[in-house]
Amino acid sequence: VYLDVDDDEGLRDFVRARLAGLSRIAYLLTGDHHAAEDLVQGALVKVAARWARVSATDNPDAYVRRIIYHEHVSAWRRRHRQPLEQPTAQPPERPGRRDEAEDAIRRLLLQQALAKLTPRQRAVIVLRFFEDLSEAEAAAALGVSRGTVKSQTHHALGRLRALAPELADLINDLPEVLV
Amino acid sequence: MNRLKDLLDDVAEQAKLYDPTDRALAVARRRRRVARVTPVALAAAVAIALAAVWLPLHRSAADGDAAATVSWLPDRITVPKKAPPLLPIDHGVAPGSVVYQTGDKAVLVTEDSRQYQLPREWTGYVRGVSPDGRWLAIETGEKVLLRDLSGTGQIEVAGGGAGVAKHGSWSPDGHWFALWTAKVASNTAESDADPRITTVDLYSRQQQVAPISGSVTLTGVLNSGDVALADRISPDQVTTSTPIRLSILDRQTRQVRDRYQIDPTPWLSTKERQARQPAGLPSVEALLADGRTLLIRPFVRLPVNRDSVGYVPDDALAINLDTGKLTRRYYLPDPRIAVSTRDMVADHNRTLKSMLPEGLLYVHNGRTSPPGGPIALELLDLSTGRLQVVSTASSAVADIVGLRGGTG
Repeated sequence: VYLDVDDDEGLRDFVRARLAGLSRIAYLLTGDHHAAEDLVQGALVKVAARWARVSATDNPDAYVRRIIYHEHVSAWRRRHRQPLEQPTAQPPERPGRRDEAEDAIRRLLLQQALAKLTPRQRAVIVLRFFEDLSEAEAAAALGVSRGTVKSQTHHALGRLRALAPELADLINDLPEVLV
Repeated sequence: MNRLKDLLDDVAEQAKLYDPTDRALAVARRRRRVARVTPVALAAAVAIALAAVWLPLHRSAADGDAAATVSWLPDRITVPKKAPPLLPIDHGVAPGSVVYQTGDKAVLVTEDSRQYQLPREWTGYVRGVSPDGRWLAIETGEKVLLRDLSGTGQIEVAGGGAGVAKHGSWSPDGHWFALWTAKVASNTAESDADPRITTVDLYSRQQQVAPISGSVTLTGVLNSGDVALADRISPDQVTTSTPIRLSILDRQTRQVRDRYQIDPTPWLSTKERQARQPAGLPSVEALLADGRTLLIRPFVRLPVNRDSVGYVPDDALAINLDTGKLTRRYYLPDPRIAVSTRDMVADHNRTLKSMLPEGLLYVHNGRTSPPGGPIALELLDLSTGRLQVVSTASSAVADIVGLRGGTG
């Protein structure tokens, strides 16, 4: 067992510089503050245990990204826990004009729809459309083939559109228009 | 860049900064020690590790910070194709959840998702459902009717006749209903005439009437049956240093006890304190969160146009009734869209309909056709500050007129 946790400061510096980004990704993946904190902690435990090797690689960020997405999927499998935020069955009708309130509704709609996706579908949405990664990069982060990312993205967007028809215009705007 | 990313960014903005680095290092070190110790020590370490896993999983329930849900509300309020049956007069129904209006009909939705059409003469007069779902409050011209949904009975609460202002409130446990009535003075400098509080014990159905000062108004009824009153202040006289004055009307003696004078200044932002047009602080709207915490919603003055200002509900302030001190300010969502006065109609507005143990329940209006109708019910979880949609309404629902815990 490799446990290279003696370079505390190196790890702390690395995490400090990336904590905001990791927190945002974790929150998008889980939709819940406690679960997001657990996810970040679980990923950091693994990073800490291999820190000497991680820091020696050319791209430690890619490694950490891979850890956090794997942790997200495996943590969900382990726990079989319902998301804390219970989505409602039907989203509100789409209001006519965009304004602050409509943005709030759309944000809630997206959160609810994300909560109904599988962990891997949610992960591809975050990787592709929040982190702006290519299919190849997303595939590397998830440890799957590029074709799998493509099909998962297709299914995820289709499901998002079905769950939240009010967001269809956002999905149709995507360059891919996969669905 | 695309709009989905923009929206994902918005969601991600809600993330906090989770910094478990120390805990992660500690866990990693513990695992290292575990790998080196004897099997007995390993067993102990496994127990610790199990606890470390178990505790985070159960933390939410333990510290009460779980996302709130409203189990008695339907996920979606829909109008059935076939008109629902009339509320039965020979037997009870399940506890009530919500009353909506469609066309000229008022329809009660019960906890078991059944719907009942209410008598036509009640349309437009339903004021709310008790916190336990048992009672329906209907304001008629001269009185308030409390209809027992668990059976067929009803309680008539004298409302002082026509032309008398009325305002009701439920105790959080559904044991008490209090009704303030008065002949309202024509101008704010005068006191109301014949002001009184009628307290109804919903268990025994007994009523008590207590005369009160004409300068106070009902803010809530406690689980003990005592009533919280607040001094009314003319909006013109309000400044940022105007105190909130509260008193408690003792149910048994019918006398006022425990007077509090609360200085809200420390709870105002610097901007609010320095504003040329200061925030108004009359405790006009008040809500009870539990037996000892009173949530009051002051109004803020916002300019309507060059010549006038309007008053809109602001954030909620929590007052501990044991100490008479302000303990917290709850920042309510999108206060600007709470605007609903005639002069300040927004395309969207959010109306606070009831205060529940789970949080504050809002009706979010904003449908375009028919204009202004409800699109969702939203719950603000006071423990986390998160707002979430807990129910939605179909386009045939013209208005949400009654909700559990609300009185209107």
